[in-house]
Amino acid sequence: MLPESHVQEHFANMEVQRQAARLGMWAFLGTEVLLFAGLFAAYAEYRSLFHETFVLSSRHLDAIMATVETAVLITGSFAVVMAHHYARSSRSGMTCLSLLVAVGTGLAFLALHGIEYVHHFEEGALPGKYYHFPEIQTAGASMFFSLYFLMTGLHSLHVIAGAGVLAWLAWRASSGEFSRGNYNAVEMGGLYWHLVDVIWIFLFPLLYLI
Amino acid sequence: MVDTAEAEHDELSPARSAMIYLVLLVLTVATYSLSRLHLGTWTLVIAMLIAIVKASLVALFFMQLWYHRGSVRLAIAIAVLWLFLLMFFVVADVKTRYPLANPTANPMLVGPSGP
Repeated sequence: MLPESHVQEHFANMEVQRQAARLGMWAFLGTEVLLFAGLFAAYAEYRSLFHETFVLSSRHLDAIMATVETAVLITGSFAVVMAHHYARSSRSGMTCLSLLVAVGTGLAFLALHGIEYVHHFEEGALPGKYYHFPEIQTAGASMFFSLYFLMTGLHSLHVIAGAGVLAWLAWRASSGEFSRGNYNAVEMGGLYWHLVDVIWIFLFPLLYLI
Repeated sequence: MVDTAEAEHDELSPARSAMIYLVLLVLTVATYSLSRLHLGTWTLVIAMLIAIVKASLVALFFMQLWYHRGSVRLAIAIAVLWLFLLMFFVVADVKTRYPLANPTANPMLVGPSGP
């Protein structure tokens, strides 16, 4: 199959089509960054208002678990890079396998985060008025956990969406759809997955380490 | 049509991607270890610096920003600009506020054990 056959009729060639897809994807990623930026701004504000409580609450979170979660997500990003590489090399089997590894890391991340959530539910470290964790009773503690659940929850929704996209791409790769002349979908799905990784790279120190 | 796939091949060389992956893992362990040392205000600075380096590595090499040109770079630059504007004015607002205008000054909001 000639690479040209994947070019939509309104694009001059595949390179132009790819550049348009990249621009669209990056514009979308820009809006995603701003969506999270609102929460990061709220975090900055309340951290400065309730500094002591935020430090105390942060220490209560499981930093080792979060370090493992970070490593898992970075592994997923690496798997997606390899999928992109194999798609360009027209190696469908390896593309599919790499994408499935990335989906696996996404699911592992969600499972680990689920364990954290269950732990917080049991001890009562919940958002807003549902907060009843006896160990930290200073002002602002419920605000910390509201932000914690909002930020990690929104991020986890992105992980779910990203894993769904990657699973769909793996399905398409398994039928040999991607090749040297047609790998835009893998690249765009990959960009989304990397953004999810980048957001976590900032959430991890802000919530768990400082 | 110029086949750019060949020229772009080098951008995703598995050896370099694996190296960046290892650096990211090392930085992840480093940021955790350094945070346990209780370096006071430096904890925040170091953690954020490492996060920025890690995010830059992902964006530049995994997301291939290093090789992109023109409109894509512009889109990213503008996203970063909006991000900066949002963060700057929120922080500037909080830092220059009349103290009683803060929620910490309102017992209704912070409860009986307020500061």
